[in-house]
Amino acid sequence: MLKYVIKRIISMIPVLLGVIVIVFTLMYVSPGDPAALKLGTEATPEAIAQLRAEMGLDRPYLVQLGDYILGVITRFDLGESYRTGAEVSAEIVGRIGITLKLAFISMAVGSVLGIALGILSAVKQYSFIDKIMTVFALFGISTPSFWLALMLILAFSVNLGWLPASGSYGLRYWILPCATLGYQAAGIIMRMTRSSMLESIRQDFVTTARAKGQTEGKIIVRHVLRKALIPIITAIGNQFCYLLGGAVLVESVFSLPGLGKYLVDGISNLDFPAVTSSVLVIALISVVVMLVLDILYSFVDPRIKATYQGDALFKARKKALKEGGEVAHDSKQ
Amino acid sequence: MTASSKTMDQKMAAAEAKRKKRMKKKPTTMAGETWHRFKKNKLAYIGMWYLIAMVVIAILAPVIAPYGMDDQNADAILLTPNADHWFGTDNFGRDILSRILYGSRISLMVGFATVVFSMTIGVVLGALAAYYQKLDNVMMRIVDIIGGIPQMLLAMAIAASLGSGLRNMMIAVIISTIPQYARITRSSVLTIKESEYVEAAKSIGASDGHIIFQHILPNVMSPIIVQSTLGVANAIMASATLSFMGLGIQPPSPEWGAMLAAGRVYLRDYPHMCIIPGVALLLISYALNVLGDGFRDAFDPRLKN
Amino acid sequence: MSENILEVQDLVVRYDTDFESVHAVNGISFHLERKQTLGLVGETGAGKTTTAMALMRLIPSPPGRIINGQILLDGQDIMTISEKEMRQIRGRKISMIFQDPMTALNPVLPVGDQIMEVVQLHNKGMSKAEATRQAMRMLEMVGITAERFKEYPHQFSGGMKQRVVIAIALACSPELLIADEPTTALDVTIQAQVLDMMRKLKDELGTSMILITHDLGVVAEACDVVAIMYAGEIVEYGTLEQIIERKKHPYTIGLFDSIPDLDTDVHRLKAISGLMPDPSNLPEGCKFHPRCPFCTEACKTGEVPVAEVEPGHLVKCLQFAERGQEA
Repeated sequence: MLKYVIKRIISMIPVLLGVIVIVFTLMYVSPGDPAALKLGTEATPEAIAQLRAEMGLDRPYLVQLGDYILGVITRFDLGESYRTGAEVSAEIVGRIGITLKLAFISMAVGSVLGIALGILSAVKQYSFIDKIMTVFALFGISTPSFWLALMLILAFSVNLGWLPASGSYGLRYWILPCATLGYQAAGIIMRMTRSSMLESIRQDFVTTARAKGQTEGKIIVRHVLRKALIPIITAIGNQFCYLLGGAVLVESVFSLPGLGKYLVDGISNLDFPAVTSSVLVIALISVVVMLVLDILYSFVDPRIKATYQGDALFKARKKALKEGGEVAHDSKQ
Repeated sequence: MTASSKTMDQKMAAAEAKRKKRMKKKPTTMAGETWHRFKKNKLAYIGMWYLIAMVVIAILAPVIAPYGMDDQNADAILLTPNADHWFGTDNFGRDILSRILYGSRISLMVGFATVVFSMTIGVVLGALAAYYQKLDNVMMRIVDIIGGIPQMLLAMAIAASLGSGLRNMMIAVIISTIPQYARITRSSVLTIKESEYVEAAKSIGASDGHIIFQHILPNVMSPIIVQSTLGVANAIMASATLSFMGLGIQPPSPEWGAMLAAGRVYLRDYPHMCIIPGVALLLISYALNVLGDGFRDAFDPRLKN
Repeated sequence: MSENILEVQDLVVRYDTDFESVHAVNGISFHLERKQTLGLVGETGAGKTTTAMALMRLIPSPPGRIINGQILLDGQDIMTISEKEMRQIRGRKISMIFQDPMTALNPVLPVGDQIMEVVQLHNKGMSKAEATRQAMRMLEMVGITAERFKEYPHQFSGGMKQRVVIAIALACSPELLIADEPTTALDVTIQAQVLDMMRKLKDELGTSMILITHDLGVVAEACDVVAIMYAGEIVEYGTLEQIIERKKHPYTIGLFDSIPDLDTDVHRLKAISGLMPDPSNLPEGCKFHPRCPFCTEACKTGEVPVAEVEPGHLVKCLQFAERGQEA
């Protein structure tokens, strides 16, 4: 098991390097010139050229890229912000807490709500409740998050005046952002729970449990839900990563000074180190979440645990597992 | 037999006859059966008609729009919905209904066009990866890397790198969604490749091409159709998001996301500028999502009944 | 305590979908004496499994429905009792072994837990330790070492899984065991082992059994009474001896002719021509008449009466109708 985890951690390295290369390259080829932006429209070409040299922007692409990667690997140095001149790593550390808090609270709300309603919906398939739940979940999935955020502000801040529209000074400031992201997560998780439950409710071992004289309630919790858990966990993991992307928008609508807002500001100010590093950190969080999920799987499904432990079968089974996981993933990106 | 039980029998017979009458003719083809299952899903059926209506509206937008999309009227600025302007007017006095109608052309075009591109590229790559082991390793590494970045962030980074505008926004959406199609195709093809009917086809000497076109493609079609229906919704949403953030289509184009961004400033006093484009986005996305669900259930009868 | 553990009267089960009504079981009646084994024999689709599920009151509804019939289990009418009362009967008085051991066990729970579940359900107040001991005893009883208690289904072979299923079914010493093709999914070499073990345990526990099968060899080996099913009806019913030695119904005769006999040397087996009718569109008259070599005009319409050709030997065929009435 430990061997498997170490293996997975090692395999994360090329993925993260790949992320750096992609984002760094995208920034490098972008038409904007950070030096020109910094000096304003009045600047002479000479002054711009001088600043470019100071910022190291005149060096060849590969040198710049290598320099950045070397800094990340050897010193955890994420470069200096073009805009503020401060260490990007320090700026990220100061903001990441807000983003993580937003993501975790929304995810917790979404998971609890989504799983509970999903079970209800599956057990009462085709009932009125099921139909209402399906409509409710689909609204969560179909609503653009930034628009939902604006509508919540309109209703609860502008019209009712109950909750603040922006900033982060206390619990009350977190309700609307978390409601926005949590509702979307709940919608997706509810649907995955429902379909996974319905699939497992039709299996033979459920009949076996009924033949034992087990009550329907216990059958649902003990047999059906346990078996249905893997796709649900997968959905939660995918949704968490999706949420990190969505947090960018929600943070900017609610003016929460998190990583997402930092990233958006970085894009509009051509602050390349800030953008590259923010994406890198978010990607790092995603891959760590995925690893945690994989470990969770092994607690839920003994067959998966066996594949982690048995090295000989490792590759073949891992492949099968991945496909299984992805079928679940397909339903909604 | 007592009298009462006799009437019971008659009642039962009558009920039986009624039931028989209600029974429909059983469809005989697979497509017919799929269609029947699809139609049973009322929501998906309505979604389909809504989508058809939207396509018609988009095509006929210049004919049915009451005003031009850029017609500014200084005397009718920031009007709330009324008889002349059903959806009100914006800060330049432009008719919002007309802009929404014209905007549907952009959203639908962007949605369908990006999906056609990303689906085609993704399906080809996924199928190749599933079929050729060497390619698979390289491709899956790349997909892992791209998968490490949340889709929206990747689209934002690409859009920021290419600069704003319709074409660049579409490229950003296409690239960021290719991995989804590649993954689904790959896993479906891998499953089907191992299936016994493909083994059987191989054992009677069928060529690779025959197997791919006769056996594999028809069987991966349904997950791909489902995914691309949901993908259109996803693409419309992604482009609206990019435009909302100023990374996609710029004003004065009546793109719904851009309209929302422009209305944001007026949220407090003239919320109709924000509400209406958002509802338009929500409805089209909802329709596509229920349609995708309907397809999924219709193609996969296991989950039904 | 009644003499018959089970009495079934005129059981009718139907599945209704949008397109059709599937007449799965059409008015069958039979009874089973204590400690005896009834063989329920027929082709796939004859309604055997539906009958078994009806006895457990586990017909999936919708689309399935028990339209009519009375089922007396140990003298108690289980059609009229509440679901809660029925739950107390399932697993304790009547239990079932399923056809496919691969899917009958929950893959994410240890096998021991799955045996314990039924033990604890029907022994309220039993301590966990005692339930564990009982579950381990059951494992040993079906020939699996108790150490494997904590292992998961995927760690067992097909035959071993079926043993676990049997352990679950017998854990509360039920009075009636329904075994739905318990050996069909197993390797031939394992089949005999499992069947022997079931017979031994059944005798030890004094359980009555309904053995559903399409394998006449299994019937000859394990059953006391045999019911031959065709298209949702019992076409012939009698003791093992009556069915094997003095079979009357053309379908039964066809069934036996279609298996090889070691004593006689035949070059080609006789198959019954034609196919089982579509249960949503059953023929008029005798359900077997389109395939019957002795079919007459009279067979094509009307109900076929059941005739008792000798004491306890029932045949549903017009050939014997008159003689049966005389007898």
